[in-house]
Amino acid sequence: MWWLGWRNLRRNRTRTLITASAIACSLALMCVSLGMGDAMYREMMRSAARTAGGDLLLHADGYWGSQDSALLLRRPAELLESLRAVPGVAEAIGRVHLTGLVSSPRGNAGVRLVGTDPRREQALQDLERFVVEGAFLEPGPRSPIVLGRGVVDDLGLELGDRVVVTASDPQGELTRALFRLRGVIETGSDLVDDVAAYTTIDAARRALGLGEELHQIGIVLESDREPEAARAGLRAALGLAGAPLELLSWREAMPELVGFIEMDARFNYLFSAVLFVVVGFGIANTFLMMVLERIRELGLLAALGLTPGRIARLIFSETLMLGTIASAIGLAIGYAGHRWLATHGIDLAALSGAELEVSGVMLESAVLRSHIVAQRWIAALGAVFAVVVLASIYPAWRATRVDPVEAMRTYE
Amino acid sequence: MSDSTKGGAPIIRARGLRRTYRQGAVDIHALRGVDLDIDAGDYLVLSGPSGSGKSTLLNLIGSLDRPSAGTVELEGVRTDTLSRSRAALFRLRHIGFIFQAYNLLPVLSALENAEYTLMLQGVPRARRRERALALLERVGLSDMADRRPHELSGGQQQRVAVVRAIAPEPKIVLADEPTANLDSEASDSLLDLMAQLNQEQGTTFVCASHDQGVMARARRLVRLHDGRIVGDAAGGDRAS
Repeated sequence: MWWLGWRNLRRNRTRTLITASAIACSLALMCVSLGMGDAMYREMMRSAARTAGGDLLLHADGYWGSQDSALLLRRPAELLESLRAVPGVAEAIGRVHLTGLVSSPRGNAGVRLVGTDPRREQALQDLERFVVEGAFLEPGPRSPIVLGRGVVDDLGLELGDRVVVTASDPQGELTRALFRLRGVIETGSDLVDDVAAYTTIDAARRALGLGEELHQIGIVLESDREPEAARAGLRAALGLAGAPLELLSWREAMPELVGFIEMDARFNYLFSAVLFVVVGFGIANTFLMMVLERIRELGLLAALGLTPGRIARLIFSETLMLGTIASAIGLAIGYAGHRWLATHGIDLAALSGAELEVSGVMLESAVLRSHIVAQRWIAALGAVFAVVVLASIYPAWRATRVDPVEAMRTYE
Repeated sequence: MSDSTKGGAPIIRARGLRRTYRQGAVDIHALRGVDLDIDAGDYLVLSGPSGSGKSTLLNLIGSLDRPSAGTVELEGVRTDTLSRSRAALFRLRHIGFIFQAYNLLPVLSALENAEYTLMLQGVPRARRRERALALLERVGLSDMADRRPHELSGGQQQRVAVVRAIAPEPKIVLADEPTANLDSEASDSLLDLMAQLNQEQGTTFVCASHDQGVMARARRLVRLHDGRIVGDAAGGDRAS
């Protein structure tokens, strides 16, 4: 049956080639699209983790929900030391947070000031690359501050200007601290540039009257570690059981962002599904043509003794052979596309002339690459075969209904 | 009318066969009650003008079609009640067909067409090749075994169709206007071949034709008119 199917496929080579091309190109497009999508989501996830402050975030219990500056991590030096010793942890970054007002002679602006160690932040993200004026917290000055472009513009500031930051200290008292503008950052996202402010940990502690306490430790994992999987190990290693501490993954810390990213991913899959339905109808149409133009021949086969089941198998053998060959070609093209993208990439920033923000996430790398998630490529292959089989059902059924007498009398 | 020219149980027994087609709002009565017995080894020709019901009767005998009323038995098996699948299998095992328009599969060579029914029956490749080649040689086409149907003349194609029909050694071969598209030389050659097979292998041949050449070779000639048998007699018998 297979050899007859193969001969039939070769009979109308142009049509076979066109149908095979449609299947192969659809699969190749789907694979490349999935590869780019998955690479982008991976980048978005990484960027989102950077936005959150780490793959995992350690706070005093209840801090993240309340943002209460009185909820502090006590004896953070021990915690930091222990965390950095845990296998799979690339870095642990201590931070002090201060939400308040920055004042200049021209006015006030709300900021979220982060006191941090700029050297250790490098493990999470390169903040220096966003600096457009001055420098990012270079050692030396006692109370440096780096502000977002929006804040600087609103307040009409220039490098070296002094600003006053007003905030509540852990006791609930208003406190003021003097800083000197040492740098301006511009990320391209207004959401960030209008509120971003960085200083050193020591300066932030002084502003809030803190000792060695911290508000947050951002934990950066080695790249192949999943935050949720690593968390249990970290808890055990730190002996956190029962301690009044919360250890959140970045996904838990920023659920809205995760929702946006996942929604974006779903739209991408939906688009692929719609593409396949459209292609499926095209394939079904061709398969039906393959049957309708051979009604007389199918009638002859039935007359000679081919049962309806064997006739259906003949049609399926043709469509499955076509689907298999076309899928193999489609996978090869898709893989070649993936390899090219993975190696060279497409620089979206160069194309758009701006930094790239997707679903509220600033992508650190605006170069679109490809990343294979094996399950998704297997699913795409499965989808192709499902489309081929579904598209064959009606033509095959139609072939089994051919009446030999009618077929040979009517279709001379 | 029930006639049998030989003694013993007939290989084909048709009783009260009627076949009515619906064409728009009109009923076309192709067969209006036919009784017919055909003995094994017979060489019977169904003759009559166009529309007399010859092909319809042949299709009912060959279980390609179902009667509106009446019964058909082949070797004691009621074929008019078989499902599509069972009827197909029955045809494959017991009946050889020769059609007016040759009806070879265009994607297969002469040899592959000749062995096609043997393949469907599950005969091993070597055996079916050997048999098909022997038969092609017998009909003078062994040197054209690799040619596709479009590379053969009408007479050659019909001879390949005959080989396909007889290769599995069926008890019955049904031929519907087998010479209609052939010139007289090809027609004579084909009829000689069929007569030879009938005599040598005892294969029962039932032909529907209004070709005088075919009728002249009939051992038994059944004439139809308006869906009824109007004559049944020993034929010219040049077959013997």
